[in-house]
Amino acid sequence: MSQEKKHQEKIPLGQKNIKGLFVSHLTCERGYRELFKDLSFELSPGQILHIKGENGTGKTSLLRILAGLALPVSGEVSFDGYDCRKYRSEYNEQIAFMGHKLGIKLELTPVENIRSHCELSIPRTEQEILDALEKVGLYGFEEMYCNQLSAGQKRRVALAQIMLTETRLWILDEPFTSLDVVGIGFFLKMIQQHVDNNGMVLLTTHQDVNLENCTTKYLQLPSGEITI
Amino acid sequence: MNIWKSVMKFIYHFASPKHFYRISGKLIPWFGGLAAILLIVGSIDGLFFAPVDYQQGDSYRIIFIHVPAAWMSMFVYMVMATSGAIALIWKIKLADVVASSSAPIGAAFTLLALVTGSIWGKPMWGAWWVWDARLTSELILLFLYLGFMALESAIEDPRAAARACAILAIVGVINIPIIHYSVEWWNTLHQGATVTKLDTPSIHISMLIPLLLMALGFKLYYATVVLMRARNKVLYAEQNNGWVKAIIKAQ
Amino acid sequence: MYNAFLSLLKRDLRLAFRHKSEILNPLFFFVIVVTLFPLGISPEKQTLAEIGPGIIWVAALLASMLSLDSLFRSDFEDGTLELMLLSEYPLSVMVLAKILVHWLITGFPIILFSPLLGTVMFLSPDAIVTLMITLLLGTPILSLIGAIGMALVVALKRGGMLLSLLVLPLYIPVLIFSANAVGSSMAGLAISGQLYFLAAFMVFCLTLAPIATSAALRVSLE
Repeated sequence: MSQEKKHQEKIPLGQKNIKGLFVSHLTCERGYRELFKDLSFELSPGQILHIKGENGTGKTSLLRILAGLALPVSGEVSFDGYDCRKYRSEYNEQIAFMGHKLGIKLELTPVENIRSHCELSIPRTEQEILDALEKVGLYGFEEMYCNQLSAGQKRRVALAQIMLTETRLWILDEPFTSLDVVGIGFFLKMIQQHVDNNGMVLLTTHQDVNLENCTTKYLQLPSGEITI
Repeated sequence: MNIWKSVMKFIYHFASPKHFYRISGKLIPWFGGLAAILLIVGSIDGLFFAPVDYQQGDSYRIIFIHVPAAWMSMFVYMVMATSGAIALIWKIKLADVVASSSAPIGAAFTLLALVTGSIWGKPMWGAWWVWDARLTSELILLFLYLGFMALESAIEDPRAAARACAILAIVGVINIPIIHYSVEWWNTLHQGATVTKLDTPSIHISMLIPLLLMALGFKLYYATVVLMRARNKVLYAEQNNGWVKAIIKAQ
Repeated sequence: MYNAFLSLLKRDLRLAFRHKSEILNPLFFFVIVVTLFPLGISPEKQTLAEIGPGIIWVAALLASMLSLDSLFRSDFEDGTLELMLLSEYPLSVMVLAKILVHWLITGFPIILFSPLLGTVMFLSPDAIVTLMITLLLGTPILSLIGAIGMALVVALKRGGMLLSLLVLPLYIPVLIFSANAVGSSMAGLAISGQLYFLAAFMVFCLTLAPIATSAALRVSLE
């Protein structure tokens, strides 16, 4: 209740109906080298932002800043009109992140992995987890330790994790790495479904992402140019 | 609320690298000159004019170096922790620079206090090292400085290094009184009251004056050196900015 | 929040039991280090009884420090630490769960084994009881302070040496008061002062160390 109130007070006037992610004047340096400067864009519900750029242009750094894992040199990120840094916990409720490291414990089974991950947000029943694993094509592997799974299968476990978190913004860093054609197809279908439900996706990939009935924006790094 | 805002605005403005560079450039000669005068006058006064100690003879004169160095060793760590906290809370980059510029200077003061303490101890105790409470605390403080510098050099990204070191300095400064107290307690337990402490309970005014002159000289020397180091670091960190390029061009 | 705490606790304990060496190695290390001293100094009863408390405590301190890697290292490498940072629950609560696990798998076995080593070092029965109490109060402090250090170096490839430089000076008060309490109880002196200090210091670390650790983790993961 008090949380709600805090939110309402903090909403800047005239921005009350803002939905989605707003990024303004983001500058990022690595060491003393500037990666990108004055990056501004927005992402509304039902949209995908595909970040493009050569190696070393700061794609991963940008995603980590947007997830709140890294600090930009300057600039602001807000979600639904709230500053993401000030409302970290509320923002974290809204996002799912998949980085280069998958967040899968090799000594645990897929079921144990997903269960302990979900307990950090919304606890799930055994059946829900098993269903999700079946959907990503891991039927029959539920009770194996993850170190016996292939790289692609581990990524499918991470996929099931993301599926089970009810978040609005997915931040995916090279999500299709080591997935086979079937896996990629399935992942794309998941993204499509998420976007159809008014979700938002930020991703970097060298794959073409063509989805129906949704706006796909392209962000070119380091220039910061946006094309639709 | 409004006053607070304008104060913060003023601080941010003053702490902007460009202004800092300009102002510190003007301050350094003054600080340096004053430090030199105070140190020279203080040493002459301490070495030649201060009276001889009736117990320790002339050997006590090392306190004019030892005591200010020991004071500075604590003071500089406090500065590091404070500026680390400022950098973490208000995101003032300059505070990080001050903290990291201070570390080697503070470590040098600590080392100086240790070495002079052990030289002083030789005629008093007949040994170069005694596990005296003050010396031991100083030694642990040196470890804390070394840890700070080692952490700073181990982390590649300069901003991450500064923030990690700020956390370490704050943790350290909270622990220093606890460490100091426990070492003191340990010392009284093991050595009793027979060992003469390095400090004299009361000090004559003719000894106090050179001591205070030296202490002030040490402080100003620190201010000079830390500003010089911070200026260099600011230039390096802001190498991509226009005003730095202009300075380089002008030279 | 409570759920997240329990969930991490269960997960980490399960992981520790799948890697039994994580529990056994610090314990073996502790025993071996203590064994070295009679061999290196002298097996005489009087000498050992005098240096015993200090040696057992130094060994416990090193065993706890060397096992700090298990706190965050593997979580950092497989990315679960990132996901922890992105949870909606306070990081310090989750960190506390991990510290508790670290204490359960390193500090607790050391406490259980300490009477054996106390006997080997010819400590009196009273002193052995004191040793166990000081370990009970002191080893959590080691885990708590160690977590701050580990969080600062977790992203570094060779953090081991650095970790000891950061953490060992901060362990000194624990060592002084604990070893002294054991020694005092050998001599039949009062030890309540030392134990009060340890208890106060533990409460102090329990409140502040998780906050410092989570701040350090956020910096390290940038």
